[in-house]
Parts: sequence; structure tokens; C-alpha cells
Amino acid sequence: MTETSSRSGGATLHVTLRLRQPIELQADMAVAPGHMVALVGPSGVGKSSLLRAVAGVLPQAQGEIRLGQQVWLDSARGQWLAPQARRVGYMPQQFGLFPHLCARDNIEAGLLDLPRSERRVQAQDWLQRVGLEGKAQQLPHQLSGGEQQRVALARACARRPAVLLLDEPFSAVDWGTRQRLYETFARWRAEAAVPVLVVTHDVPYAEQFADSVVVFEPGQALPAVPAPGGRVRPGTA
Amino acid sequence: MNWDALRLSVALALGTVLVLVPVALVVARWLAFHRFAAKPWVEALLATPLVLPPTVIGYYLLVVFGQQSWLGQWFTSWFGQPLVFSFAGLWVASVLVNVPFAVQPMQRVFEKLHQDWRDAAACCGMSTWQAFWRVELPLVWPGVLTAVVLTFAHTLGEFGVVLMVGGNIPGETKTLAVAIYDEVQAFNFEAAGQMAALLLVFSVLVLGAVSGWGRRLAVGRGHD
Repeated sequence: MTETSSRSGGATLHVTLRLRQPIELQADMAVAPGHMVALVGPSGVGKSSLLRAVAGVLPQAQGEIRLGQQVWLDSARGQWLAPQARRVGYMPQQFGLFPHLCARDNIEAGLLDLPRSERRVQAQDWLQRVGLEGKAQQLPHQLSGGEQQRVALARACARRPAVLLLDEPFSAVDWGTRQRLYETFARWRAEAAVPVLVVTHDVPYAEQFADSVVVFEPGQALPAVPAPGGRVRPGTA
Repeated sequence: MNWDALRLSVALALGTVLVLVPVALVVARWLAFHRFAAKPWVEALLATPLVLPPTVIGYYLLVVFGQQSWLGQWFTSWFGQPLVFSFAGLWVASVLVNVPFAVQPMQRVFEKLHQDWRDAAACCGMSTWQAFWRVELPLVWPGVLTAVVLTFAHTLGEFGVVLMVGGNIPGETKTLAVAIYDEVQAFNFEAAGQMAALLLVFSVLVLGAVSGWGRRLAVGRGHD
């Protein structure tokens, strides 16, 4: 397996995790650039904890996480890279929208490295992509659950992440909107070509759109299997 | 109405708020976000002024600030005046006595911040400082406001500690609460009544306004 992708120059995400807290979990996976791995399984087996460990916001994480040659976590050597330096797009299960900021400002919050005017343009563009251009000024509590989810997805994608981590990204969205969102997201994935980890209970979605599926059981993540609609590269999840 | 006492009380209350609230904000955040073995003891120590009689606190402060202590001697040699029975001593005592009134409301709101918001801030690339200014402070603002008001109002009404540490020096340590006590001792109930009514009306107005403001803030952000 090569460490970089011909499509983007992105890097492969390697995750070897040994969690004891907040839940026992052993997981090994590698996600190539442009590939999407769906994490499926019952609630409470550590899917979200794995995302948090990769994002760098799970202090108890033990194991090794690398993006290409860049070490994000190597607990044996006491190495840990702060989440701010990992450049992840992370969408938590409860969306994590800042309640005092409107939809547009929430998206801009992920773009603080850009000049203010550029942030505004990017945020408007993403609001349009997720079909919320008319709701830019709405606070999260003024949006429906599905709309909040779309803002959170837009924020995670807009910041041009090196790795995208999504926890149940489409669960609250109605069927029609979901189909449009699938297409929007698929186009973004093709452009961005970064490793994507998605926690989902939506097995049909996982089978259709993911490249591979990792099933979680209590205490462990099973080896990845190719998704029926996906295209797994040798040596990757 | 003893305007000197009122001016002194307001100056003491403002000074206490200005010094205490920023420090308490840092302490409250630290206590809310960190777990350690001695945390219950630290919290108990900070809450002590809530349960100890003011005279007991005043006594210990008098001992610590007095001319027999190294702190009292250092202060006198450095500033040329003793810490006890002075406005400065009263100020320091007021800051210490009000610690729980400032820390606890802010600690409670920091504890209510969802982990998701803090995680999202970090994953948006915000430094700790940026996350504090852009995410945490706007969300804990009602708690900061409560801390300001409680500290201000409690300082205005503080009596026991003021009397023990500051004595009753007009223009220097004689606050409104002490002035009321003086007037009652002198059977001047009319003057005492005016000052007491002023404190009562002020307290009710401020607490009512803050309660209403805090609720509007919470409803406006969908927290209610």
C-alpha cells in the first residue's frame, strides 16, 4: 500500500487503538485517501469513542494513530498531537453546534485560518450546498434537527480537513433531503479525497456508499470487509 | 442618609468585583474541567465563607493581617500603613469572603457546557484561548453576571467581617451596613430605616433584573 493517493496527495490514516476507558475496545484499521469506512454495530461498543480518539479529544486513548508519516498518537512513546494540529473535520453525534452562533457563523468557526471575507464566501457556499442558504442567520435552536445536522456536516467539510470524522451524519434528515445530501457529500468526497470514517446505523447507506464496513462488537472492531457498493484497495480497510 | 458610608460601600463592592471576578472565572473554569483527588477539599475550602460565622472569618483575617503576622508587617513596611483597620484591608478581606459567591455560579455554568462544544471548538482549530473567548465565555455569560451581582450585593451587605477587620472609621472603613448598626445603637431609627430601605430596594431590583436577564439569555439560546 502506498502512503499517498494519486488523486489528492492525501495520506492514509492508520489507527491501532487499545481503549480501556470510557469503553474497552481493540481496533486496527487503515483508511486510504478518498476512501470511506462505515463503522457499524450496536450502541455502546465504542464507535463514537474511536472517532473521538482519532479527533484527539479522547484523553484516555491508547495505541497508535498516524496520518501518513505524521504521528497523531503513539502512547508507547508518549507522543500526542493536539486536535488543533490534526486538521480533522469532526461532526459529533449531537452535532456540536455552538448555540450562540447562527448557522453561517457556526460554519465560519471552522474556517478561522482564512481571512474574514473568504470565510463568509465559503460559509455561504456551504450553506447553499446543504440547502440552507435561507437559514444563514438562524441560531441552532431555531433549526430543525435535520437542519442542524446539515450545518454540522457543512462545518466539518468546509474546513478542508485532512481526515473527516462523521458520527451519524444523516440520521435526522428526511428521506428526500437525505438523497440530495448523499449526492452533495459524494461530490465533495471525490474532490477532497481524504480518509473518511462514518459511524452509522444506516446499513443500506453504508453498503451503497462506503468503500468498506467495519463491524463493531463488544470489546473489538472486526476486520474491515468490502462494502457491496464500495471499491476497496488492497491492504486498506 | 450617610452618603460617606454609601460611597465607601459602593467603592468596596466595585473594587471587590473588579479584582475577584476575573480571578474567580479562571478558578471556576479550572475546577469545572479538571478532576483530581483533592478537589472536594479545595471546593470545601473555597466554600467556607458560606457557612462560617462572619466573626470567625473576621477573627482569622485579623490575625493574618495584624501587626504580629509577617503579612501585616510586610504590608506596613511596604505601604507605610497597617492592613487592618484600613480600606485596603477591608478590600482584601472582602475579596476573600466573597470567593464562593463568585466561583460557584461560574463553576456551575462551566460544568453545563457540553463536551461536544468543547470538542468541536478544538476540532475547528481553535486554541484554548480562542475557544474561551469565542465559545465558552459567551455561553457562561449568565453565570458571570450572577457572580458579579452576588459579589456586589453581598459586599454591600457585609457586616461582621467588615467590623472585625475594618472597625468603624468614618470615611475609611465605615460602610453602609456598619452605619445602620451605629444608627440603631444611637436609637436613630429614622436614619437606619432610610439606609436599610435603600439596601433592600437595591438588592431586590438588582437580583430581579439579573434573574430576568439571565432567563432571557437562556431562552434566546434555546437553553430553557
